[in-house]
Amino acid sequence: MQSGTLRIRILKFFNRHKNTRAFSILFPCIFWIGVFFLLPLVFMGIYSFLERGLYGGVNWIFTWKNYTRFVDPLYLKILLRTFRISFITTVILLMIGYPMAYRIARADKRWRNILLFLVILPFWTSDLIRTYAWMLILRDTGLLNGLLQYLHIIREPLSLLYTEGAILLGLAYVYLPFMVLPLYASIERLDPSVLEAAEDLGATPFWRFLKVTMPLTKSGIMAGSLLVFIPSVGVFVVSDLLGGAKVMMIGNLVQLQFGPARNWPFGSAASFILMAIVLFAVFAYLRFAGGKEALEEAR
Amino acid sequence: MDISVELKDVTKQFGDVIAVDNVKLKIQRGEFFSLLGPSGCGKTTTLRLVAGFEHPTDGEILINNENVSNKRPYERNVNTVFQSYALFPHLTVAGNIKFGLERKRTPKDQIGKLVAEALELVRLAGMENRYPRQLSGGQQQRIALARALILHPEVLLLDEPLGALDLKLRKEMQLELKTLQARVGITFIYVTHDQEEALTMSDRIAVMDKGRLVQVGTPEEIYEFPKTGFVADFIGESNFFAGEIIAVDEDRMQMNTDGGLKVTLPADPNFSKGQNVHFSVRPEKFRVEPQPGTSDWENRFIGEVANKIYLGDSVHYVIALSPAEKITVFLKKGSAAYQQIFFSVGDKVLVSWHKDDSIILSD
Repeated sequence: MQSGTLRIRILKFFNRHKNTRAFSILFPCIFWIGVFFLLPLVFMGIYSFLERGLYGGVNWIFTWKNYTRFVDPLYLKILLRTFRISFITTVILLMIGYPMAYRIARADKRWRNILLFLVILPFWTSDLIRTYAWMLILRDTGLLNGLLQYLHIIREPLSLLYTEGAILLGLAYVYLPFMVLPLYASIERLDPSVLEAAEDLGATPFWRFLKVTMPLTKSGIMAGSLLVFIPSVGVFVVSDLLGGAKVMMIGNLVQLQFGPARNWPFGSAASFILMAIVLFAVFAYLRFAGGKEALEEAR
Repeated sequence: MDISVELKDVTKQFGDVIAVDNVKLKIQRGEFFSLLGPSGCGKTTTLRLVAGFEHPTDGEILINNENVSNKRPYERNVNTVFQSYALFPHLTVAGNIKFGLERKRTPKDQIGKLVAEALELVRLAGMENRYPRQLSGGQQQRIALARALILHPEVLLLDEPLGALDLKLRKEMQLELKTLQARVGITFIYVTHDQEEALTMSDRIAVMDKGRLVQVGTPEEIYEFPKTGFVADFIGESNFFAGEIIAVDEDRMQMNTDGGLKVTLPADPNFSKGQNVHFSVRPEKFRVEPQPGTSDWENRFIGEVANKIYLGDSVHYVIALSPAEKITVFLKKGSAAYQQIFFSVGDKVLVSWHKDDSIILSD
């Protein structure tokens, strides 16, 4: 009885204050994002404008120095390389992931789940360990060089590790599921009769893909590309292990500043610059590639 | 005669399942030809074989006298209107309609004119810039039709195109399709499970069952002279009888049905005394009168009204002619028998039918 009247009073309160009701539902979510995402970001934002302390802390003195320091050929080269590697990774994964996702989506039901499971399987171990495995394969005395020498294809070991190619390989390997899964979702939704209609109206497989399949799976292409591109830009484990000091990416720079270099302000500034560029790039991508049709479809 | 599509002993197997079984068929140019049958009878597979989405396991398909058995859909001068319409959701109405023209590399300046004409043909002028999902089912249907017709195919294939529409719209579209077909003069192959639809629209109908062609003929032939029990049952309603022939005359045969009736049938050279025979009688062919009655038809029986269903323009009776033989009788308003109809359940009546209305079935 007591709880009944309390319940009614609560409901009445929310009926009078409609906005409060919406807020109370969203509160846990807002709280979570606020404490674990926005707050650290604010701290970093503040740090990026402070001077570096002698022993890794900060001195509370305002400065632009951390941002101006970034405008340096050394760092710009790292930035450019980061975007180049991420872009190439995305393109490679689109080319591998699309046929793969298509095949899985068109496989019969029994196989589909098995194949999807295989795509997700690598997630069961840490990508750190899987990247170490690639080191074992690629290093001078590694499996690949050993095999090629055993087969007398090469005499001297190829230097495969600590190259941009090694990073591309590692990234493509680690992020493949992020490309395949959204593509699979959009291809699976594709109405087969629409594809038949295209063929019926005279479209060869090439034109059918270009004019029907691709536009109708655009949401998957865009989602997959973003899910691969954005984490690739911020990656540091893969580039650290497979690229080493020779091929540094911006994630390594940030990690270096927060770690051994003990320069949190500069690390924060580098992160913010990266974030700003990525946000801008993603926005431009959605605007440019999304177009009117994607908006129409989204509606 | 000009043959538009020919199927030569076409068989299609999916694993162990024979979807289409040795089908022989010739369809004339400009004909409205229906494939009719229950779901799973192979009619849609037959259509897909002509379209090129499937390839025959055995046999040949000729379109305009050219063997296209192994050609892809885009290599055939055939277009399809799909059951789900299969419009391209990312393209406008105009984009959908000109899709085929662009693949054929039709000059740009002609495309606009042709699209406008096609929209005019299906009475949807001015809809160029709408998206399919902004249209009603009936409108989407007509866009699908315009998209296929604009290419002037040798044959237009229609896979239950009216199945998703409500009854009233379906009736309208039936009429519209028929008129349109007569106007454009293109061969239509129309797949349906709706016998009424097939009867109203078709020049000829092929009835299919379990992958086989059971009977091919005009709507009148199919309805009035069904060859098998399946056809008689599937097209309209029928009363079925079985029994043994006891006497054969010049113009008639006598038989005893399993239910104990002595019936007169028209003569049939395929049957002789002592053979078993099946026949059917359409429910509207019976005459029902109060006793003693004036009918001079060969088959006269006293029956008892077992059930009565009033349907406004007609009345359906179930009448027991013997404990084992119950028949269904339709009496239409305005027919000769109607004035005497209001029988009640339990009434004894005289039921009669002419011997020629007994249709002997081959199975």
